[in-house]
Amino acid sequence: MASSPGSSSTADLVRQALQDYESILIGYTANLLGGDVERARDVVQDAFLKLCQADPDRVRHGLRSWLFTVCRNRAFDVLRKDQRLDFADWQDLDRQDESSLHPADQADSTHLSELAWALVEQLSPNQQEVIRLKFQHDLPYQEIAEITGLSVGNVGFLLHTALKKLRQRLQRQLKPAPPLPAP
Amino acid sequence: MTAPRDPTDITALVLDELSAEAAAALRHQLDADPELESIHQQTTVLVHAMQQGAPTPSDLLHPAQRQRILHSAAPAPRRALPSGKTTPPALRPVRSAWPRRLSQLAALLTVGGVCFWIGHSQLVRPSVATNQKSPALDATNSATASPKPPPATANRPALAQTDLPPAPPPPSAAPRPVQTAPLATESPTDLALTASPARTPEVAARPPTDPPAFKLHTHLAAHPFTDAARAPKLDLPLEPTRIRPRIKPPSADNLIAAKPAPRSTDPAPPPAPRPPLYIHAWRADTASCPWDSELRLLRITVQLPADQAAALGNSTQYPFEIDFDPNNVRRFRLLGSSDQPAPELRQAGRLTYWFEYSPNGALRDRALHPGRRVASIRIPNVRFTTTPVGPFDDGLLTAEDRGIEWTQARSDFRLEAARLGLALLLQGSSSTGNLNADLILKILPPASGPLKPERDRLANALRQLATLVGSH
Repeated sequence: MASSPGSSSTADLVRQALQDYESILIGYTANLLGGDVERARDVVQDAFLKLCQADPDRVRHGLRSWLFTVCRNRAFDVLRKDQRLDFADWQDLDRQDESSLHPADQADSTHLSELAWALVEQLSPNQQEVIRLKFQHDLPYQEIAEITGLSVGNVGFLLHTALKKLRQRLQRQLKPAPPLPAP
Repeated sequence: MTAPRDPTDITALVLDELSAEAAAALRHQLDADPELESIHQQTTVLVHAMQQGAPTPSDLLHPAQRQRILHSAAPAPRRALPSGKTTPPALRPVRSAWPRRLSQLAALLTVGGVCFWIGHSQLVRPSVATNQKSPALDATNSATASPKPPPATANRPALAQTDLPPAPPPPSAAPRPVQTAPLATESPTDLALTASPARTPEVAARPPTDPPAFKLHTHLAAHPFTDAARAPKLDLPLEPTRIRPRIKPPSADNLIAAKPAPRSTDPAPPPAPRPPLYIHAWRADTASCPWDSELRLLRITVQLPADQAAALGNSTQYPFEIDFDPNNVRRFRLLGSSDQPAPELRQAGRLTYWFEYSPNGALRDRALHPGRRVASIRIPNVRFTTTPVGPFDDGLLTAEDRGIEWTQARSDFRLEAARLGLALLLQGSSSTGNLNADLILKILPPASGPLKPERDRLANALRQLATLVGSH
């Protein structure tokens, strides 16, 4: 007999999901919400409460994607209510950030990974999201596509473009500074 | 440099996203092209750096949030199942030839089941008999232990009968449309919206899928808007007997009246102390008001087990305190309440209260403010049927306004708001903003999920009403 919401299998599923995904979902959602961890907690709580109401047999396979997708949708609802979400600006952010970069601003950190992750903040929101899903949460292209609603090809393209940008900016960052002109 | 067919393939190769054949072909191409190989190596270094240095999320939910999730996920006891939704286990198909021992076991279980059912029906009868008081219920009233139903006693008045009280009405395949009672001229207006489908013997064995009848009261006339700064607290009476299962009394023809009891000369016994009140759960939801953009709605739902002395005994009122926060609420009023009786004794019923309130201060902005306290709800000395877990005060329920619009509210919230809106519309109240039949149709949740039958019934009723008054 199929499990139903409110059964013991739901409880086990939710407990296990909390253990496995609680903090990564909060981290993912907080990034979508501009670093607002408190609201991210509310969104993640709502997602888990929704999981309590779901049929465990339906969500068990692909639970991670399901939870990420629910958190993502809910976060966008929150942003939409705040009227802070404007898809038209997402492509412009990239161009704006390029001009603000200067090697001297990032001189303290020489560790490549720290530098790379610092530069991730300057990517467009779309690119940031797929980078985090791939590298922070280790999700395959297919799952990222399910969560974001993009095609697998689009995900690949976004990641490729993001990494190419990061590579180029890192090269600019790590290039030795030009010598000072002689007095 | 010979570019690969798809420039994203190099990244996909580094991230292990290519198929084996595509990866082999690309490696062959990289071996032949030093420039491509350089890009491949740079990408590999970058990917490894990012994988190693990926920030590890460490934030966790607050303990109260975690407990709320675990509490929602906990398997519900049988009597805490949503009222009206009983799904008996699927019956196994009967085999043509049973082993002898299995036959004996089946016979034993059948006899035991019949005895239990007879005993259970005996337990229900005290609420059906109007002039007889079961000593067992009196004993339960004075009990302070668990809310389990009282056991059968030998002193219960005997009702010889050939017809046991029937079970709560199960639905038929084609339920009747919703019927609305005529409007009352006195206030508060009681509007009975019943949805009791016809009972036929052939469907008696089917599991019920329709919710039981509920009763909706509107309280606009009796409870106008109150200034929260002057009088933030509202004391309402909570009447658990309103969720008592509605059981059709047996036909009088089949009853043999008991001999009248001799009049007692003893002084009247002192009134029994009020039994403790048990609840399964309660919740508070807020959302914007669909018919008035300046107001917001608050719904407080209390789920109670039907098999407790407080619900089965004499009608007793329990204090139900709602304390609005004047910092966040300017004025409020009780809009309506509804009772949803338990479909049977071992299930739960619900009492729901609806409020309208005018936000104060920052809540007037439409921005989302997580967790602004609207009201604190308390039932003094209430007991929970399940042990709550957590450091919070389980006797206090906080209603928080998160700035949710009614379009994003839960489906059951929207359905009940639509019912309430219809009741207010039929009442003809003048203080309900832009409320009309079209708006009520929009308030109804989407036609999917477990609420679909109820939702469709209400939508049909609205359309029929609109046709009746010639607006379609």
